[in-house]
Amino acid sequence: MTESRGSIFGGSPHPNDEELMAYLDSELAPAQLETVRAHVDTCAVCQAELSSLQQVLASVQRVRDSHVTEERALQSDDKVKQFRARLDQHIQERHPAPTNIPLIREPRTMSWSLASLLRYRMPILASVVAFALVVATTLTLRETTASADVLLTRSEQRDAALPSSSNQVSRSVLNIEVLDANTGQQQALSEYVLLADSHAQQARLQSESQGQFAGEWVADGHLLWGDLSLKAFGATNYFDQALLRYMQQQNFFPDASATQFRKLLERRGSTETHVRKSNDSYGLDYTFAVNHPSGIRNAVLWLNKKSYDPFQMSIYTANGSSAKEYRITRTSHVFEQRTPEVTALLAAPSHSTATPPSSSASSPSAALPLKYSQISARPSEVRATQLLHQLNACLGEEVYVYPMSDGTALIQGLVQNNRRRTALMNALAQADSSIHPEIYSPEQLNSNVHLLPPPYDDSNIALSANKADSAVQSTDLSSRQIAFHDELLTSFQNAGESAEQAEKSVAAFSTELSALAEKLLLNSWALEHLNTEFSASRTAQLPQSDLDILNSLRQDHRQQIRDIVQRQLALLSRILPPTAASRVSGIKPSSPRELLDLAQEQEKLVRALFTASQQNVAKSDGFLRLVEILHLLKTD
Amino acid sequence: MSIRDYPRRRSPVGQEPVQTGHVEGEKDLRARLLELYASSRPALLSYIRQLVRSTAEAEDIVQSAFLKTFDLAQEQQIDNLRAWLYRVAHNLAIDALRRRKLQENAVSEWVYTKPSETSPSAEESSINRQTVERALSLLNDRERSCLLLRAEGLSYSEIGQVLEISAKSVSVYLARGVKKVRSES
Repeated sequence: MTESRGSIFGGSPHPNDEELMAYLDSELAPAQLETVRAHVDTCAVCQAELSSLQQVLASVQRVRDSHVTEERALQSDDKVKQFRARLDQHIQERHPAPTNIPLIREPRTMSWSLASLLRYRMPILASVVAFALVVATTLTLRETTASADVLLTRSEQRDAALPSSSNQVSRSVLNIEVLDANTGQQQALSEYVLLADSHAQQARLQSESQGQFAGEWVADGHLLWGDLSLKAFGATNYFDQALLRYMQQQNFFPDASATQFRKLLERRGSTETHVRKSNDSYGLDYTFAVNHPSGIRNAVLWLNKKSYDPFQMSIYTANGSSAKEYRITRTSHVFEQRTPEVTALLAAPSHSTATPPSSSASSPSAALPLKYSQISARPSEVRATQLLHQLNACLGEEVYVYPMSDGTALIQGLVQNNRRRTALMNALAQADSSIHPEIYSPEQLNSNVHLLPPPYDDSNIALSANKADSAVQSTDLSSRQIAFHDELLTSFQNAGESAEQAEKSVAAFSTELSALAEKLLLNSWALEHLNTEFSASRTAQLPQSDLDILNSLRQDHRQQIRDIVQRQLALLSRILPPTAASRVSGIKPSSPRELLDLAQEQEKLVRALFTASQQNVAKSDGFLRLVEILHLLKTD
Repeated sequence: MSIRDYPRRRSPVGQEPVQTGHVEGEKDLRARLLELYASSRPALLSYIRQLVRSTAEAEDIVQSAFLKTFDLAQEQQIDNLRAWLYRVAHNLAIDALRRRKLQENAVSEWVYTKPSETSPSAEESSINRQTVERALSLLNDRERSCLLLRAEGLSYSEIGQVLEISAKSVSVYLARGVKKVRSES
């Protein structure tokens, strides 16, 4: 038992903090749960630590509960009513009411009522008009006073609701006009295409017009919008210098977005706002302080009335007698996939042919991980998978291969301890430059480390969690004994071992058999993973040499499975009844999924029958089924 | 051999997810969201308030999260509505924090979160509460969120969904958070 414990805890005599934590919350896999429980049951140090962890968690829970209790006490029906009103307004805005409600209804059969109405038509009409005027004024007042800030916040929230996925970039087409604010005459006009990736903090601006400002500018890495403004407009007399300085200071870029608009307003030095209304839009008009250093008098962001999508921003400046309007119009705003081409566009300007090699080389930080469903398998991915296979990191460790948008592969994962991490990093450092390893140990995790979610949905591969297992394991374990203890003991004693020696042999037998069972399960799991990662649809375009590599990996797992099964059968032959071998009637697995199911069943049976567990498995039936499964796996 | 995290590292454990099964009609969804709002608002509000430290803003964020969820649930099936709501609200809160750059003075404002006035329980427990709140304020965002979301009854996998990290990372942050709280209290 001591041997098994040492190896499972990675050389440490005790489970580590996160294992204890997950153990407390029943978030460990059944096999680990049992191992940790077996240790904790007998270890005073861990018991004390668990109790201390529980106390801290309970105090946090109490704080949370008291917050919620207070909140509940304060919650009135009004809160729910208020939300209901907001939700209904929201629903209504999604489906605007029909505008052409018929004004003339079918005449009623009771003609006296129509006649009486007609008699008093003038006073009625006057009342209706007066009422309508009052309502219209009230509504106007409500809308205009309620809400420049509220509307802006809604628009911002809409921005925040847009795809924040790392695989999306936004492409806006912007018209930037300068008008004489007094005469409305156009003084300049340019069209720009803005490609922005808020996730990677990159943007590229390209002038598409044939006018004097043709060119392109890139803000790479940390999205210095203000610098981009300065680069794009600074060398011209297009924007006033004072305005440009303010833009740079506020890190503002003239895009008709709520986020940019907010930056422009930050230091306006005034609190005056009002809402301008038109048929289908709101204009959020923010006044700036008198003699504001930027020269701005006021700025207006126009939103679509229904969707709150901003579509135009106007900045009005006054400088002496001249007054200008900078009108920025979004003529199109779409999200698109971040393809390798887009990545290249964002990484370096295409016209800069003399770019030094250091900046033209693709940097892993600029590339983004893609989901397997978005892209076919590539040779770099196969190589990364092969490397992980050679390092045995395919056997249950949380290490994934991410195809990146720039064609490289990222190997990222969290491993048990620093020693394992160093071993993996050293081995992976030998790989070519298309593979970037990022392996972490728990000590290294901090808020700067971002562990990516798996690149594909592996929830259906996860072995089914059996709640009954944990229920069984929570029973008192002090009386645990290996189900086949006596048979094994007799068998070792019959082979001439002393009683003491035979007990040790039984323990060693148990350790080896359960380790083999786990290894068999992990190999089957790795096989099913390969199947999912490199499905037929993803590998259609791979060259034959890569397909051969993948096949050799599969063969390797199958061979390991066969070897393990041989060894398990050899061990079990010690107590095998003569009839057992002939009873092989099951169906051989025809897919990795079925193989995995069988492997999972054998692992459970081994744990139930040959470790100190108290699973409810009928002893002889379970044993026969185990032998049957091993025979089915032997020739697979 | 190191510990293998093989079986159900990312499969949800604990609370059963709310299954919608299909994209719901507007009326049904409205009714269900209103019901969910009435029942989960206190907990969600309390969580978000601890991130943004402003009741008014937290209220708005919680409502906005429900509205966003309403929109999305009409377009696609959401398997775990509760985890989804926490995720949307959490992201809105983080956006709000970034906008207001509130993190700089987070600690001082944290201390101002109102103490338990409604419960006349022992002074000792109030002191304990303040100590724990102070200790929580010293954690980094991930550790604090993991601890608070765990207290909300979310499984590791659900917490992972909210914070967009793996379930294994959740256990690491939790363990670290607990240790820090312990050393501060």
